[in-house]
Amino acid sequence: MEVELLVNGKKEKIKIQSNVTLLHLLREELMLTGTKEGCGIGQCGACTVLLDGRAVNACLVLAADVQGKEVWTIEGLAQHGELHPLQKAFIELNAIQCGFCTPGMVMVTVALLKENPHPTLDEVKEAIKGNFCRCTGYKKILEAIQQGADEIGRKV
Amino acid sequence: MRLPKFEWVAPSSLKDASEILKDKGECAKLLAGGTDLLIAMKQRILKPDYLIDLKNISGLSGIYKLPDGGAKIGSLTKLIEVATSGEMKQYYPSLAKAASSVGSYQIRNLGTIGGNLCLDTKCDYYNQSSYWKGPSDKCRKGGGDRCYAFPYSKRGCYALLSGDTVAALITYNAKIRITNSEGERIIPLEEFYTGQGINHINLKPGEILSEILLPPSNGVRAFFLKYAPRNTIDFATVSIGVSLKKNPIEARIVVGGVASAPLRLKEAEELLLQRVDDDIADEVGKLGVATAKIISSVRGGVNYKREMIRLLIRDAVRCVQGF
Repeated sequence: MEVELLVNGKKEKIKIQSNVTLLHLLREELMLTGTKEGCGIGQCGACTVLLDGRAVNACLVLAADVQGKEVWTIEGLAQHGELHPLQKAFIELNAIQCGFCTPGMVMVTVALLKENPHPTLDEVKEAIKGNFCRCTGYKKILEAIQQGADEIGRKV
Repeated sequence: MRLPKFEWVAPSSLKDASEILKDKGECAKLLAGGTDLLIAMKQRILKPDYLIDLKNISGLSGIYKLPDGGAKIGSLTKLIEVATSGEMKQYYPSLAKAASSVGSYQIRNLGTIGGNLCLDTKCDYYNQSSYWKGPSDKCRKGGGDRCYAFPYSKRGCYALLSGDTVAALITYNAKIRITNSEGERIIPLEEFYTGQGINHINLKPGEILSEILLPPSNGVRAFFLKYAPRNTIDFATVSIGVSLKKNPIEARIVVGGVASAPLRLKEAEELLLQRVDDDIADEVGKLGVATAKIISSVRGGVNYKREMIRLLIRDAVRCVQGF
């Protein structure tokens, strides 16, 4: 079958088999390998992307189901060669060790900041509950998210 | 992880979906949010030949206020909508709380309330991937004749009902609309569950859960508590729903996650009704746990679950009584 969707603002038309997930469509058909496959069963959040503005586990979405929908991945965050404030904050504060969870962490936070531009620490913790980091221990990540959120808040 | 091969069909009406489902029988599965079914398929626990995707059917999603003051929720309504809708938070707060306790933020954005009610029962053995189990080891739920979770059992399956919204919905006395190609029937949610680990829901071939109907909630005080080893992406060790209603007076105490069906603790309900104004939360908890039939699992042995049920009932009863 063929699906048509918007990926990071660009229209894509791809021939797929019915058993392909959105994650594999992104990574293997579109070569957008920024989105990671951690567990493949919805527990780690490494594959988080925005589907019609909502953070979802790309590993649990059938590619057939994204017909006509809009997907944003980590590759789509940088604008005009400049990193997103959240990405900058993650780098500045060293909120990355192996980096595998980072795309998911950033994407779920982008979704959170859209709904709630000034989250409290507890609200941030609640939002990243579905994302595992097995190296840094979350403290740096929480700090980076708050710095990024402050930065975005200043711009608006 | 890859999905096995299957044929994807996306009918545009409930009638078509029901006919395809009836026609294909055991070879077909209904796909709503996919957060349970796709995982089981990736782990090769289930290998349906057909997936009947319900997302293209219009009118299956949404929360509506009914003229009598109640509400109806389409079965394909996302859990996040149930958890965050102003309507639900105001009139059915314990349901909103139960919905927000499911999985993670990402999973609630995909998973549906109908899917949560139909969620397959969970077992420490059955829900391991087939790579872990090996090719020939089939338990009763997997089509074999042994039970690896309870090796000395002669028959039956002891998989646990794990949907978090079930207990909360039953405390509000919710009914469900079940549709097939010829018509529909409405039953109380309580009667939806058979009590068996295999075929745990009461759906005949071709039937689809299409709507959840909630009676008006005026005069109802309800409370929901979920206890799990991890406080995110985990099934409940115990989930408890307690409600107290005036005019006519009624009490409901429902326990989820400890058996293959939700348990209603009627004796404890009676006690709560008789002495509704006394400080009897402790006694209700003790009586409740004495009458509950509990199955042990990796999340807790029978004694541990008993103790947790007692404490959670006590706390929930205090909350609905207003202590």
